[in-house]
Amino acid sequence: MTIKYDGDLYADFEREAVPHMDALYNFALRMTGDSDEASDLVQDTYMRAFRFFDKFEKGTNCKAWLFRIMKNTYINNYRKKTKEPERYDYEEVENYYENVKPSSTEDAHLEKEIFDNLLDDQIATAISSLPEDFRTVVILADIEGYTYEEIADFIDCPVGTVRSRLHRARKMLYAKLYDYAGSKGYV
Amino acid sequence: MKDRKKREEYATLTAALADGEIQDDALRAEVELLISTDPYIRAEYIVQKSVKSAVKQKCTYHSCGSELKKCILEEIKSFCSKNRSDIENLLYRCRTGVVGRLFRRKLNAIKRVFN
Repeated sequence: MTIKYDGDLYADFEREAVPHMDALYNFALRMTGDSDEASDLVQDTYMRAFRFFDKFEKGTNCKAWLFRIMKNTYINNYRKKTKEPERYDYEEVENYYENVKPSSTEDAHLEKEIFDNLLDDQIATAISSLPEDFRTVVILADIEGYTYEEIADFIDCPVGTVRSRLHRARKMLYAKLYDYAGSKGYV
Repeated sequence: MKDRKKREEYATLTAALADGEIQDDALRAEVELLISTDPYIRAEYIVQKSVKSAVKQKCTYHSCGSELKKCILEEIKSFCSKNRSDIENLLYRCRTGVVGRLFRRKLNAIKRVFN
């Protein structure tokens, strides 16, 4: 009979999984929007990952494996707090987007300046208000800088889905940021 | 309707272009041409690029603090030792306890039959 939780397993885990803790924390923070909840989420993810580390196939992408565990942990533990499923009026946002999107290159330069005036907090708030699937791809692509293929691996979906979600997420974000800029008098 | 669908597909591809994710040279050239000729596709591309750049520039990267790292590793180590002692205790009980003695007696009886 072998003892499951031996020193070798811990050493392997420390070498394979621990270097990704920063990336997972940053993702958790953007998903939960709260540093305490992010810490709890990272801790739960790592405990769960260690318990099932014997199931991890050596040589495969450990970071993707950890992200998948975090996503499931987030869904099971943290989203439970919200009794009602997220509702998002896409049509309303799309209509608003069609009205505010840039109509010429000159507008685009002006809008770049407007976005430059926005603060980190305002952008973070806009990201956290996106529906979960869209928020995930924006965080992974634009903040963490992963490729479509890596993101597809992390969230377990085709590359085409990553591309279309990202396209839509940025449109929603644009509409929200435009709205913020308007309320601050930048537009 | 078919044209509209095609246009939407190209609009989606502007995200991939902004991310440098179109590997096919011909397709990339096709999307680039549309950006310079079609105002709708151009606007889509501008939105993708400006939002990406704003998020990238404004959202700071937050690292996991050393305290949290230490705390997680300690919890894993304590989980490790707890589980190890559980298994060791079980083995000890099997070696010395009543169940272990009964099991050994049965095993010896079986061995005698086969010998």
